Amino acid sequence: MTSVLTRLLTALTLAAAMGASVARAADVATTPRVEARLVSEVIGIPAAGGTISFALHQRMQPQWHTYWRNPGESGEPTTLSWTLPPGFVASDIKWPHPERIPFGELANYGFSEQILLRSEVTVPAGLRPGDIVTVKVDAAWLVCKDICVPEQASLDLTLPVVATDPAPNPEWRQAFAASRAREPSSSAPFETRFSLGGEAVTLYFVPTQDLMERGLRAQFFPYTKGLIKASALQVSEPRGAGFAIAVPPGWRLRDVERRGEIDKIDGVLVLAGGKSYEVSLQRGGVPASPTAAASQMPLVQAILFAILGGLILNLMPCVFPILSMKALALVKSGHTERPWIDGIAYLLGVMTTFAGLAGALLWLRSTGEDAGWGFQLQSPLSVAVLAYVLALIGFNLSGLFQFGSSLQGAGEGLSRQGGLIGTFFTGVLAVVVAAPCTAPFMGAAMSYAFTQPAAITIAIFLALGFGLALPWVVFSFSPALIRLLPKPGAWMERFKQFLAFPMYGAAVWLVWVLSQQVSPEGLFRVMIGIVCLALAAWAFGMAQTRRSAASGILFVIAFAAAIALVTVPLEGKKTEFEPAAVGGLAQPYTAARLAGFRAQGKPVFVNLTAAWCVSCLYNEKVALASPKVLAAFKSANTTYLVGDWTNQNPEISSLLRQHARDGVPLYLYYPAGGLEPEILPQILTESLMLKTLGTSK
Amino acid sequence: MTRTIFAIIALLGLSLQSARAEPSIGQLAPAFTAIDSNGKSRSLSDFAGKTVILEWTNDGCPYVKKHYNSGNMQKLQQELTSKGAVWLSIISSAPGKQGHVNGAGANQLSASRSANPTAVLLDPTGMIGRAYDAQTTPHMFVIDKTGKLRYMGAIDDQPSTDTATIATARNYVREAFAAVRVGHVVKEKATDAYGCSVKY
Repeated sequence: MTSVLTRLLTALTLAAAMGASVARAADVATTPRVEARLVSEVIGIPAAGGTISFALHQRMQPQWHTYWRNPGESGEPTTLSWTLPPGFVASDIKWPHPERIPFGELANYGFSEQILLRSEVTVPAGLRPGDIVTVKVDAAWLVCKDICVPEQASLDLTLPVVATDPAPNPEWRQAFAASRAREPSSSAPFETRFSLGGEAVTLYFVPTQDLMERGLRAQFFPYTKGLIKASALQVSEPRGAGFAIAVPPGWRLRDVERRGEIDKIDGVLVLAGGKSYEVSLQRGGVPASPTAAASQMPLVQAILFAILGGLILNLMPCVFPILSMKALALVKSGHTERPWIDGIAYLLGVMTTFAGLAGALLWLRSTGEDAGWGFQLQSPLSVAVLAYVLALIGFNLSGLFQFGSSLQGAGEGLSRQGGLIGTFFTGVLAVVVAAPCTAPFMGAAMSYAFTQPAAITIAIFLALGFGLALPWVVFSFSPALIRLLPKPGAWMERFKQFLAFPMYGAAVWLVWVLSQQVSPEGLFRVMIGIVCLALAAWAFGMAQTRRSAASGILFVIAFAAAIALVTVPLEGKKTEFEPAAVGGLAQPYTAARLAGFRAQGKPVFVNLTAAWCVSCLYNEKVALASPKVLAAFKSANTTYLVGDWTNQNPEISSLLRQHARDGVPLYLYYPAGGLEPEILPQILTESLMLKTLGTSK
Repeated sequence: MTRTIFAIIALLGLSLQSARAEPSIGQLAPAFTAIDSNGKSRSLSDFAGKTVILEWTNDGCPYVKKHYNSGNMQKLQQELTSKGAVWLSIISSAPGKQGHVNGAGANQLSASRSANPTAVLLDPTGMIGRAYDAQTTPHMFVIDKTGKLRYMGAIDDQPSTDTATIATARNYVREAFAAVRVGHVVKEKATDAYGCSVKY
């Protein structure tokens, strides 16, 4: 009892001494805006050493504020520079989490009213009790209201060295406790990731269940400036297993060239109620926002749409060259004993490839990439390889060489086994070449697919494949239909040779696509590569029939040359794609431009297209370039914006995603008066365009 | 009454537009037309074929004072305009806010601080400021001869009001201008602007 009393008295005496020293020493500086004070958490320096805390306390006049470590869109953080006795070491400021301080249209991260900025000081052991220690700090801060004033102060504080653990400073105990409570906890019970779209950075947090509700009113403060737009209001919404905050990117993440280098965002997440956590968000996959259209669609309907979309895909021009091959195969196999085996092989080829594509897309998205339908054609290398493959098939059909065993005669056709493998790969090829076409119903089904778990995504893609292969499978299973086919004969060889030409056409088209993606030199390399390929095919054919070593060597050399020519990186100067059908009317799409025209109340038509998208080009030629439609654009004073997705473009990906699409084409009509857009069908007609534009008058 | 409604709609429209406008490096810089301190109308397109420097300024801001009181900003203006650059100082402070001046005030200010811009543009509605997402004073932009944005951000790498830091500072605007002038790639294309917030 006595000892407790004694200790209490000692503490009180020391506190009184402290109070006295406050009045005497320069531990406080007052400006018309800020009262700044150097304070200690304990009243004495432990002789045995240890860690104690000193802090700068700022009390601001109403409406004035100072800044956090990342000050937001303007301002400058407070700095503390310590002068301490030998052996003492001060840490950086243990920043309490900030508040968001809006100023007009801009916003800052900082502190108003009052704040305690704490530093931990390591005290060496072996000090002499009774000695006096002086700590000094040079503090500098910017304080702003509607105007800003830089201020500084040199403050010092004198404390006695005490033998026992120093007692807490009664006057500041609460302020220190409050400041500590505001420091973010370093062990966050969260899984965190972020992903990057064209118009938004999505910050994704999966907390433990008890924190979920408070997460829905959470605010995130990044340590680095320019990652997210500080002035944007942050709205947290449930997403996947947690919550997500989508915010517009700051300049660092808008820089398309360099944003790829940013793979994490560090900062502080403040939950409702004020508890905060230090978090490090790695770049990665974030569950998509369930868009209204997609989330309301039942799974059965999505699968049905996918099958329908796949069926209609057969009528799209992309698949024509492959269809012609199928037709030939059909004639050949139609008169075998079990034609349905071929049907199954084709179905398997198609479905395997669709599943593979879905897997690749899912994987790309899990790495935080923006990828959509047709992504494989955004890489010049895959376009070049595809052109090679189509040219090779063409050479084969022209009779330059045979697939499979070298001794088979041209008219004999492929062996039974070779035929099945051939049919399987026809299926593979059909899917790969179909990518540039999006059929009606496909868009809706696919965007649904990507809001669902991986298994459902793949199921939808398989349904698409099933739809694409269905007509052919039905044919192969129906003897009645097969009987309608002509008998095989010498005409088949001629027909086969004729079919080489659609293949050459498709290859030429791919080379044209490539011309939108690479420099003229790159394009030249690929074209020479195709010539080498032709030489290789010819040499291979000779080796097959004559077994000549010279032909074999020539084949190896020419083939190696063809491969070498495309494996040199094709990335060249990217030229801007000018859609043929714009009549000087179109302007390139940017989100800002669209917003600008909408804000002016003008009607806007947006065409999201790509050089490799055949349905896009078809629509542009047939519906958009017609003189009547062009005249209607002018008379309705409708702005025509074209977004070119030939190469990756995050702004366009983002607009696609906003309308629950994963590929081009997408046609949007924004009526006058800044109203919400109407989504037009994926196949346009002149009359539809005239009707749409007419309504804007 | 109708006019008021139109005015409100126009204002709402402008704010919507500004909220979405994001200048980006390598793209065409947002076009603008403004009245300069001598009452002359100036458009960005008037300067096609020349490198254009935009400087957001507010004479009451301590960060602006750092660069003007030390003579640093004037020196840069002199140096770059003598090499053919067009230097536009832009004042986006709203009426009644710090830094707001009329034409005569702006001319007086230029005279008193011996500034050498090609022109001082008055942007009291903040339209140009918003189009460029100008956040601080100073906030600097470099636009090349073809009208494309080549640099945006701070004037240098010393985010403080301390004049002593100027001597050793790396001046991003000088660097960007030198690169753009000879057609080289600008090394630091964008940086964090620092200073007081623009008083919209």
